[in-house]
Amino acid sequence: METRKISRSRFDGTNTTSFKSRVAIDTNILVRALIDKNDLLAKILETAQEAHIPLPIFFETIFVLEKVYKQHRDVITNYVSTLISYQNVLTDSEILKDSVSIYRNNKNLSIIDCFALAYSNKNSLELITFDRKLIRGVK
Amino acid sequence: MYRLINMEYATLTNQNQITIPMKVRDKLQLKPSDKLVFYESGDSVKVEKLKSIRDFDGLLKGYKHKLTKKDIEGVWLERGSKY
Repeated sequence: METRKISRSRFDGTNTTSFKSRVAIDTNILVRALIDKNDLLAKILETAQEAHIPLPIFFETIFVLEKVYKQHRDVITNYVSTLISYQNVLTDSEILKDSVSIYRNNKNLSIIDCFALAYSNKNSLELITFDRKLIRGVK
Repeated sequence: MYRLINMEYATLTNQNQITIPMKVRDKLQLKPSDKLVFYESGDSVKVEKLKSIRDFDGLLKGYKHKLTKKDIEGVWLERGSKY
């Protein structure tokens, strides 16, 4: 696999001038970008040829911003929208956009619930669940 | 300063394009090549200026809390506790 792990020395935000052209970004990078005074994430997005952010990383980030940092869903979805607007950010953006749109408009559903709904809608599947909130969302 | 829009109109062309009214451009501080994002909101759609990643600098500035592995595990455990 071409993409290699970013060396530990780069995590302090001081040595961020050179990245591998293809990188994967972890949850802590996405969250810490909002807290710390460093522009590690911005530099990655502005320089990497491919910045992969797998869906579970987005889900964790959304969870943490909502549950730990008590951020409003509008703010969280704006952040996700900005991240996936970068052309070098590679993820399953269509299903993520659908999931985030449901998440923004349904305060009682978690992002995983919304993903389950978006996935089943996209693939014309019947979503089978014991979760009553989700069953209401299906209708 | 709060920029008041009240109500503005735009007409869709044959090419499905509209001109964003000046007051709306001012309100959103839009300039050429800016990107817009459309969010579904009930039966309507909300339009916002797409932010750059650097616009989010300091969003959680007040928080001294450092993200730990426990925080991340906790959110998954919280979901798991529903079963």
